[in-house]
Amino acid sequence: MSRFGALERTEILAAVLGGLWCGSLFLPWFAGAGQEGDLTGAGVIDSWWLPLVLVAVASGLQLLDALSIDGFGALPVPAISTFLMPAGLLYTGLFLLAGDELMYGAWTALGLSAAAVVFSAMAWIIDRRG
Amino acid sequence: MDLHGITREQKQLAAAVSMLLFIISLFLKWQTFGPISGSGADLGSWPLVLLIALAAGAIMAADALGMDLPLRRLNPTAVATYLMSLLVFYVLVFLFAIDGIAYGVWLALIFSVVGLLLTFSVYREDAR
Repeated sequence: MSRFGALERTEILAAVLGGLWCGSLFLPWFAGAGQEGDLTGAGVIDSWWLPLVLVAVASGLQLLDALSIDGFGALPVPAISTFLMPAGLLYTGLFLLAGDELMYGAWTALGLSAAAVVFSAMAWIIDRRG
Repeated sequence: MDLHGITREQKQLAAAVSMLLFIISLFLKWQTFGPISGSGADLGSWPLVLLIALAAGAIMAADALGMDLPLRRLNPTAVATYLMSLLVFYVLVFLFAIDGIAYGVWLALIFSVVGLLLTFSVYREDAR
């Protein structure tokens, strides 16, 4: 029998997906022409670190909450993570709408961020039900 | 000035007006680079942000006017607060990235933050 309950499993899954989204920022998102080559999600805009930090914090909190015995006590980790995680989805969506010649990295990021949001919300719902 | 005297409905309507002003700020100058300038609506993703601001403003205005919203079990104020936080995130992403920032970005930041604070204040009141 698993030592993790439904909440912990969902949190771990959401955290892993969020972590993978952070990694997908460094995959090619747009096909580039000339010497510059392909453009990664982190190369699109100088403020790429902002969604990275928000998603990394959300994922880190969920992972620690799932792995620690008592969780974070009074800190509502599932709610906070559900609030922060969509930053990655919005960032990805903004550039998917704005960019041309999309590459696999952009679609990978979209799938990972959407799945991370869904599992974070599921964790929050499970947490609210108690 | 006594801010505690402001009613819940007044805060909600002020938040809705902030969203309207945010939308207008999308069409103002966001960037100047020598002789070239661009507005927030020159960014390819601006329709998405426009929709978010419209939804957030409409939810606040409708709730203030006592209209029933088809949000099922979701708290309208919580939804609007969340949508406005996305707008603040959007403006910050471009604020940290754009060279030659113009007044439009600052206005967009002010209106989105004011809307968020007002809506969050209503959310806190409701939670109590």
